[in-house]
Amino acid sequence: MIARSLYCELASYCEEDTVSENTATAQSLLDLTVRDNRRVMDELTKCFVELSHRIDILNAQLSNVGGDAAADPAHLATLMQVNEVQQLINEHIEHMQVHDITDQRLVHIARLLADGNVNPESVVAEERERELIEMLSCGMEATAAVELIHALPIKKHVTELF
Amino acid sequence: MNSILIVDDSNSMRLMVEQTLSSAGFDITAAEDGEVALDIATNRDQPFDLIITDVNMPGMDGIALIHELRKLDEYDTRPILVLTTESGEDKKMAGKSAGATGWIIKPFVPDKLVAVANQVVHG
Repeated sequence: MIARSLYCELASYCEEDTVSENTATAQSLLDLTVRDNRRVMDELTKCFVELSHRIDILNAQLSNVGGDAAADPAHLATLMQVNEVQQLINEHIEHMQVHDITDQRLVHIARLLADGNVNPESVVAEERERELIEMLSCGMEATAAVELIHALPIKKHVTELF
Repeated sequence: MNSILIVDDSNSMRLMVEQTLSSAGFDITAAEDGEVALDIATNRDQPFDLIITDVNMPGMDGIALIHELRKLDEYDTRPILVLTTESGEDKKMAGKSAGATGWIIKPFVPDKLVAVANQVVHG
């Protein structure tokens, strides 16, 4: 629903007689990615995965406490807090992935725009990206494209074994 | 210790997958595209127990990599998982036809990724 309503709203760009400047739009998209701050992104990623690893160890140690100590309310409260921290870190790791995925999509779309390859049958990942390329070709600004791609719902860890 | 080759052109994504699986006890090697991955896989004494690859990468993409690996005796039955943002049926079918063992859509959930890796490696 969100995707469709945003699409309808932004598709109005296509009705305007806008001169298509795909190369400039592609550059604007690239300017909005964090590719120039890749080192910062990598450092943040390292930080979160390291924290996750250490919390895992702490969790395992706390879970191995036996005897009366295991039933101690203070111990149980600590265990619960550690689990909450683990959950929080996992959420941040997921956010980092979403930023990374969005960045890759923007670079992909920018590349297709710059190459003039905006054919709907080109190697674009999904329908929503094809729509985005269409709208960008019709004059939608790069900042609006980024907002749109962030607003779209994402599938998460859907696994299919063949 | 079971070995896994991770193939992804995103450094951040490689780090996240590497850390997740190494914490679970796997021995990890990483490559940034299909060509590098194929080179590493073919020049290794023991084949990897599992390969996890992205689809969209510069140079050789993930589907082409699977095609090439399946031509090799040591990788004709080894599990190969695709970890990608691609959710379209056509791409998924292309991966399946190439010989992929499974398809996982990013963003991944660490615990679930470990569970799937264990499932395909240990049967």
